[in-house]
Amino acid sequence: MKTDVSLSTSRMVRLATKELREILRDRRTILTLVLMPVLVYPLLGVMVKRGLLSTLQSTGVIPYRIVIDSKEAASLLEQQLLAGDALLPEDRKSPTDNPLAELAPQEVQGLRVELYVARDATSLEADVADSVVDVGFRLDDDSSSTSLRWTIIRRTDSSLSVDAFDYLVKRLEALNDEYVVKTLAAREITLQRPAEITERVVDGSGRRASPLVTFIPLVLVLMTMTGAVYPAIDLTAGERERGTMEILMAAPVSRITLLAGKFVAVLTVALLTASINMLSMFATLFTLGLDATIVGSSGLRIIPLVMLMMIVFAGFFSAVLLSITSVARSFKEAQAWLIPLMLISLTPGMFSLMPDLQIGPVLAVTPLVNIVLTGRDLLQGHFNLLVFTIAMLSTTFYGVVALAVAARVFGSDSVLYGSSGSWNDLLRPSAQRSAAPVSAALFALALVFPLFIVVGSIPARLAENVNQTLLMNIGVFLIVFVGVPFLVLHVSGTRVRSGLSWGWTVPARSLLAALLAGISMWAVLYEINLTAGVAAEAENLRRVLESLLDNLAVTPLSIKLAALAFAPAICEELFFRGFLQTSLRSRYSAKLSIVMSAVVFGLFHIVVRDHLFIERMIPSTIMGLLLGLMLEKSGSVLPGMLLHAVHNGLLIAVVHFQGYLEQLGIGMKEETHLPMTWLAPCILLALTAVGLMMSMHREGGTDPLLASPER
Amino acid sequence: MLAVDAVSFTVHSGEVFGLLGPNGAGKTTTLRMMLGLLQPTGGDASIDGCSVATDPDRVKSRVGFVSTSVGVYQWLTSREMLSFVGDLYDVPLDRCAQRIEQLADLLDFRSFLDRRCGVLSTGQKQRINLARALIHDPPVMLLDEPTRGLDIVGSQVIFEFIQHLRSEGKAVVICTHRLDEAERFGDRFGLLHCGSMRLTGTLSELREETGLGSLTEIFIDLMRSDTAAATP
Repeated sequence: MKTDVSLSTSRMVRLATKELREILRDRRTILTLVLMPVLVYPLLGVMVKRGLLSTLQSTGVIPYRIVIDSKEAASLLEQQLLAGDALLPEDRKSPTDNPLAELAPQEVQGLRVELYVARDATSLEADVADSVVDVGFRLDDDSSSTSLRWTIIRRTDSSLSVDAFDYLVKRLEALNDEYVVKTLAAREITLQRPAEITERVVDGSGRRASPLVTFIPLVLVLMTMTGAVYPAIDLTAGERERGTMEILMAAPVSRITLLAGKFVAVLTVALLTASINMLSMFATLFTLGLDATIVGSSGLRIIPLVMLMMIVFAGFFSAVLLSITSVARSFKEAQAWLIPLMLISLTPGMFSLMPDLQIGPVLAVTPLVNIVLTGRDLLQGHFNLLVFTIAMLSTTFYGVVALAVAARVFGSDSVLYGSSGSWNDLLRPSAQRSAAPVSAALFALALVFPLFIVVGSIPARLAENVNQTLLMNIGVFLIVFVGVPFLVLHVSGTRVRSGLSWGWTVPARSLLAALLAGISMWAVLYEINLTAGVAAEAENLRRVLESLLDNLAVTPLSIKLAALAFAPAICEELFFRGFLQTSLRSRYSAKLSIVMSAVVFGLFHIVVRDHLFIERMIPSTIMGLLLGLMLEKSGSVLPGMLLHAVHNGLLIAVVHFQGYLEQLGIGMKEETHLPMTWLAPCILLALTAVGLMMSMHREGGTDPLLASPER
Repeated sequence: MLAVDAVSFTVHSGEVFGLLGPNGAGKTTTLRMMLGLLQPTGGDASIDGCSVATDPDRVKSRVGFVSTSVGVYQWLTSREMLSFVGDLYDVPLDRCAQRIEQLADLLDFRSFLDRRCGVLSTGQKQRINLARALIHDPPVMLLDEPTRGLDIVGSQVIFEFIQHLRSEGKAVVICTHRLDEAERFGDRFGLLHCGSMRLTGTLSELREETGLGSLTEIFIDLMRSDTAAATP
């Protein structure tokens, strides 16, 4: 339907405002939104502080608790400890000694110790075992000697007990040492110890986060979900149940706009819930002095990153919720649909609690798991930009797909008036299409991105040498960039040739333009790369590429051309231009379709091996724009393939014959601008190519894409 | 499944057309197709010169839709809800405020204009819903079972409302199975049965054609002849 195409942003905002006004007036929302987090976290925080401190490392200013069998023994121990402490050189005081300890009032002045006299001298062991105290001291009766015979009761499974033992023994030993030195000095013997020990304490570069930190992303994810569920149901199934959906449907507003308004409202509530939860959580940690203990030294600086993660996740989950609740006809039905979803969502959440689980390519693209694990790593101070970006991008893709699904089912006839099976419309149209529907194309995109990362990592692992890796890479390209679009075209009932813009008859001018651009664009992109690239990052990229090229030095040119020029040219063109851009073009303007497919093309190029190169985005996107323009103007994916293949092939050939070229005096030094004698002709050629493209027109009126819109 | 087939009729401005038939005859389906809520497999409706098939948004902006199944926004006040709907139909803000005042006088709901819709009584909600359908002053009104579930007072409000619409020169289509009521407010009638239009005309034309006195009698006769045809 024509009405479903346009999206009005200002109307969407007004719709979202109205939805929010309604949601926020409902006291049930306020309850989950504000009251829950404000009450839950302080309670939880107090419990954590009370119950779990004995198992935590680096406990700050908490004094060691010592139980001792008698009052007399207590004062004797106090004297000895103070005397020992005075003898200890500053640098030996203790690794666990906190400078703040002196400020806090202690039972024993100047010592980080609290002495308790046991009511029952026989209960010392039990007190230590039950964590009532950290260590126990018993003064053994031995009148035959002037020395005090201490029995120290301690645990090995409590870090506090271990630290306390160390702290106390150090002071008593200082006393002993001093006695030995003095006695020997009195007898005029100089002490020559076989081993002299000097201890130097340094601060760790980062305080390790506690295992408790793994709970935080899980809790945040769960809270975001909880926040989004109620409005999502209320604004779709609830609205249908109350009969207000018909008001919206009868109004001259596109379904996309209505849904977008609802999406923004649900997203806002989800984010509000997440922020209030996070605020309350960190405020609790901060007031209880637990922030450093739980989060480690990275502390509160990571909040912006966590926030970004939450925004992406909330968007994804809100879209998923809306796509499900849009099908339900009543509140009850929607809830029945969502319970399995919540249960399924909980399982991957539990992954985060496994401390040794490392996030690899598969987990980085697994919805929900990637967010929880990235969040965990972030809070533990292991920030990996590559994994973070992959997780964010894949989650965004999934969110967009879910939103596209929601847009298709939201307010569709069958849902509003009772018959069922509306999800089937997505994939089984009655008539053959000429371009894949945008929702199907987005679905393919969401499939291709994780697949590219997962399948793409296989060849390097399986292959024995570079040649095998390269050949397997061709397979990867075929599976990912050709297999997926073919599958989607088939399932969505789209004619393959038109769905991929595959046409043998192309204007001669387009082939000429492709050749010209193919041989000249490298210079333009090289200059752009030099200008745009951050120096350090460019160096990094060069190193990665160089190691790649070193490996490739012995590879036959034919394999290199096949794997690095022709396979990417054919497969990427089929997917990004032939499939994706054609599908986008069936709904959006030429400009928008070209830009969208080029940006996606650029995004795919920022991952090189195990590294992430944001600045590669710019040249790749420019290349994508040029290739997109070529498709738009020529109507076929073939000239683009030619351009792409010539461009890649030229670069590979240059590298292959580098030695030979250098002999001829043709060569480039790293990181320097091209001489004008090279750059000027190349720019001229590239401009001529663009001019040629712009001068082409598709044969009037028979535009295969515009003549047959999606519905 | 065939719900509605070959239904065709014309309504002029200032005319009230009763689309009549028993439950399941296809009245609501026809109305919803006219409004673009359902997509017909074939055919078209032209409303105020705009085609539903090619220009559903322009049709929607020219039609007011009343149905007892349509609810109100529980947490908005009547004024907020009406303003919201006005915005959906692109009614300018000041015009919308003015319109709310007019309708509040016409339908007598000024006293609860700033009360939350969730706390209103059924009759009060009904008034708000009538106002909601008129907020953009559409030339065409579609009423789907407007008196269903209403008491005498509520029904009387509807009759007066229809009278008002006629006097304003709007083209009105009313779906109902209450044939006795239809006789009171309708100018012309279409008798729908099993998804197809059997008879159209004014009450006197229908009487002439069938030789029967009331709409109810005409309909019973129609259904009898159908069963007779089905069992030879």
